[in-house]
Amino acid sequence: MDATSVYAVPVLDRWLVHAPLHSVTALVNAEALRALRATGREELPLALADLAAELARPPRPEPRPAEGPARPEFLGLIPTRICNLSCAYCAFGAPGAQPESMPLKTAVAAVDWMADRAREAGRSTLDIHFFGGEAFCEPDVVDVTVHRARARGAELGLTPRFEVATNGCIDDVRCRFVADHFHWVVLSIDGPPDLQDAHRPFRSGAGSYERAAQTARVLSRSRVGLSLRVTVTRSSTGRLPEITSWLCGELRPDSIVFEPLRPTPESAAAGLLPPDPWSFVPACLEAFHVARALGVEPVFSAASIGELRHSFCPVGRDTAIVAPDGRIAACYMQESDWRAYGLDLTFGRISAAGEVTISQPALERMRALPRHGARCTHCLARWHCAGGCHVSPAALERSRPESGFCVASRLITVCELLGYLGQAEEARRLLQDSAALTGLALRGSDRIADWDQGIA
Amino acid sequence: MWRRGAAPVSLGYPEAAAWDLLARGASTARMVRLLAAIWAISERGAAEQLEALLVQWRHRGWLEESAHVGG
Repeated sequence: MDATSVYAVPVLDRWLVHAPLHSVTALVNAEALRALRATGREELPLALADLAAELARPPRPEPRPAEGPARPEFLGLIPTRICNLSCAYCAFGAPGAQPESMPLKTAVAAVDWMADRAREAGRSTLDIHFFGGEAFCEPDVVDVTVHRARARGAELGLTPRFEVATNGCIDDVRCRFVADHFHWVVLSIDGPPDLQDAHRPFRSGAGSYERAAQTARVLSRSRVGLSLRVTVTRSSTGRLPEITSWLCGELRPDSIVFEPLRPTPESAAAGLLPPDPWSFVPACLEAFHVARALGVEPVFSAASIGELRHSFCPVGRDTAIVAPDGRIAACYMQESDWRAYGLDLTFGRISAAGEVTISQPALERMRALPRHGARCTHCLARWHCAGGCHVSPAALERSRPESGFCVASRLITVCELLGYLGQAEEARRLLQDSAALTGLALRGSDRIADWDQGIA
Repeated sequence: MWRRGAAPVSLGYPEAAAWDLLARGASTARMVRLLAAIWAISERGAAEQLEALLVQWRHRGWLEESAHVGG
């Protein structure tokens, strides 16, 4: 067994064995764990032989960044940083954003470049995601991008797939356009009218719930995939099950995504704080239960057990995200945000003439960024959370066991794995045992090789 | 202003971009500007191609009334 890629963590009186690179997850007792660790040195009980055989196979290769020329998974476009809302916690700089919009020539050049990359990579789809500000505040850029991509896709045999992160405050005509042309919509909405209108008002101060909800209702009846993205604050944490019940019942999304508030000067000024992770975890998992009961897939992006990844976000995946001024970066956040963390995430540019330039050394720098620190390499959530966002306080805290990001991602990952095994009741018992939760969350190493102590 | 009549059963690119903009009520000036970008040609060229398309669509009965581009 490659003991560095097999993890085991205590779940009350049993042990969760998780080997993501072997596609193996199991819940075993201490005696079985001891026997698994000693494989090869003693005869295994029959019941464990299959599990031991699976763990003895060579693990699949670790997820890795691409090599050679840029091979982006998708093209990101930021048509503008401007937004029609004035969210109390905006982390995208919209309140002070310059009224700069992407030249149409830039959008066309970006689409053509991405289409060529998709064809070179042998892909069947041409994937383009819009970010903001609010992308639909620049409808010309969106229209040109969509139709240029459809035209190029038709020429090259690529199926265009468009995704947008939006506040949903768009008119009916634009909503029908999205329903006709888009593949997936991530619509930010924080809950029932009282929460949404307090957190995410229009710039005039008027509430935005009705408009956003109307868009969501239209999209949920269309063929477009709809994710609702809920920003969770310390004060809204306790309401997560109720928020989930409301949004899933009223708006019928395909999935609901829970994102802890990212603290900003704006959020601090508004008196909004990030959730306490120890309160967030049970509330989030209860909300998962509510969503699933309503047929909606719940998502906490740092605990996505259905996929293995080397990077949490577009950074390190060659994703080319084009800013309004033509700069190509690995991240959709503002340059000032990266700089605050000592990062330069720019790796290319589109000139005014529409010429695309990629810096290979800068691209290699992006690919190296998600390289995991020591704590991540000992964590069972390593290939699911992949270290989280690089441009956040969490990035600086990851080396500390008590990091709120790590506590939440580890505990939710473990509970989701238990649910996958049909052990949801065990997860509920774990959540009620604060000592067991604390011990689990703060372990320095989950590697099965490091578990000499504590095994009865 | 042009108005949409019966929708075409299937319209490929590059024409589909013009039809979509028309169907969503874009002004002629906006259509010309956006189509020039989409088709990567001059605005004058886009206006000419759009005019030809509109005539063609009118003959096919896809448009209920006619006007000239720029009108």
